[in-house]
Amino acid sequence: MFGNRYHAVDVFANDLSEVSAIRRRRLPAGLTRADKFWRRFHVTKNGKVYVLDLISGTGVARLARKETAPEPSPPPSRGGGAIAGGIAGAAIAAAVSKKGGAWPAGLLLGLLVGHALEKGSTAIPHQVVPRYVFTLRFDRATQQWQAYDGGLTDWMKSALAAT
Amino acid sequence: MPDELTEPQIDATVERYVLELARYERVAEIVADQLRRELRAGQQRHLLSFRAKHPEDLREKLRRNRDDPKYAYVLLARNINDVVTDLAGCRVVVYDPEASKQVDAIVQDRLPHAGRPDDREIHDKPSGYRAIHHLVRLGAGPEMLSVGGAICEIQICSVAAHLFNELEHDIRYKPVATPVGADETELLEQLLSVTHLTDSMVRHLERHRREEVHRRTAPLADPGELRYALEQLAGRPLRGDFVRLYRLLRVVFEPLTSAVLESKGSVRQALQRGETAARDRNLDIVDDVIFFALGIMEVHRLVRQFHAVAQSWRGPDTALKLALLVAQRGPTTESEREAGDE
Repeated sequence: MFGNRYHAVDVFANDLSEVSAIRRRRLPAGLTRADKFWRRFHVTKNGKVYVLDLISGTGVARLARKETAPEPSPPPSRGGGAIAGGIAGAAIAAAVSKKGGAWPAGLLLGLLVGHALEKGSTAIPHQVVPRYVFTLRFDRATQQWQAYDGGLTDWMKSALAAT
Repeated sequence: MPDELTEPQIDATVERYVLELARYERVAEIVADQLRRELRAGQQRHLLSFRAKHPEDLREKLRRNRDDPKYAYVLLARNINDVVTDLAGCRVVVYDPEASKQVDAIVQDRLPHAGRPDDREIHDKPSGYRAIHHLVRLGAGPEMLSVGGAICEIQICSVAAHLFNELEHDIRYKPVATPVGADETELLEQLLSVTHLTDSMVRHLERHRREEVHRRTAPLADPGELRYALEQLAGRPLRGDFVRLYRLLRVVFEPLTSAVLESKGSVRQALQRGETAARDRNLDIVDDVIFFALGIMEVHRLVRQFHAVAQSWRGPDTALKLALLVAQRGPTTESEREAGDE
């Protein structure tokens, strides 16, 4: 979608059936574990490998091209194997908490993440460097992602903006 | 009343100080290290220096104050540092005089006070001398046996004030045998005026810069702010559907700021580019919003993104929507072909 402008797509973890399966320690077809902490997975589609990350504490699941996926953050302090379902469960809970109780049923939002407007620019302390994004909504009728510019646009950009 | 300091007493005091000079050098270095860490955390631009007082400078100070009861020999002999509080000294010179207040606050909050009535003094003397003085005292732990309890003076001033302070001190006090003439006095007064002006200009420049940075980097919160920003940058009133333009731009940029609007050229250039694109596509209804959208779409290579957003707009076809849909049918640029599809 839109070529090489974007390197990842962020969605809320509770919107992905794959994450629910991971919470039950069942890997869906096409998913393989990439670390022992059940935070990073490889997804193969159309012969290409992507990385699915459950980003700690944010409720965000990020799908990125393997070559552009950053190194994962330091592992959690608790024992890795024992919290396999815990990380996915925590991600789902964080996503649900972010959305709140009034979330419209069936609304699935996503954010394409691109690079900074000025490549190679370094942020001035305390300033956010503008970057290319694209806000999306999943249309269940057409099973396609569509552009989204509704009232939740600003909120979803901040809620899904994982570092 | 104690007698004034005699020359032999001054000599004795200076000789004793020389034996302790290394201690005060260490005190100044320790305080400077702590200042350096605190100021770096506070991100203040500054110049930091430290020193132990030169023995001859101590001698001159004692001679100038020989009549002052505070400098009685008995007090000097008991503890010279309690009398002469700048044996160890640090100086923080800031560029923006406003930053003196922040450094002042950092020293008050983070460094150990000396516990004296004169711990903090703001100097703005008739001579023109301007600075904030702090007295700090090092703790007396087991690892600080050689320096524990020593007082260090910290001076805070602007670059301009420092220039005047140093010249004024050197001219008035050194060499002792040469009095300051009327011409020099007048030149010092002129220099003082210039340093005040310099401080004022730096203050204004820094404030203006902060406001400009904020204006360019603060997210545009609504269509009204977007319109205001575009009109300021274009230098004239603009026409069109700013509500739709705002919704369009915030889909593709994060955050949407004034800086983004000019990230690939001026707003005027974007409007001109868009006007050319609209003419090339024979658009019937045009306005400034359409020109800007087409202009920024080209330079940022957002043709497909803008088309996708326009397609998602429900309701009657507006001029902006039609312009963006038509743009998709235009010739693909080289960069668009290079992008390709996944």
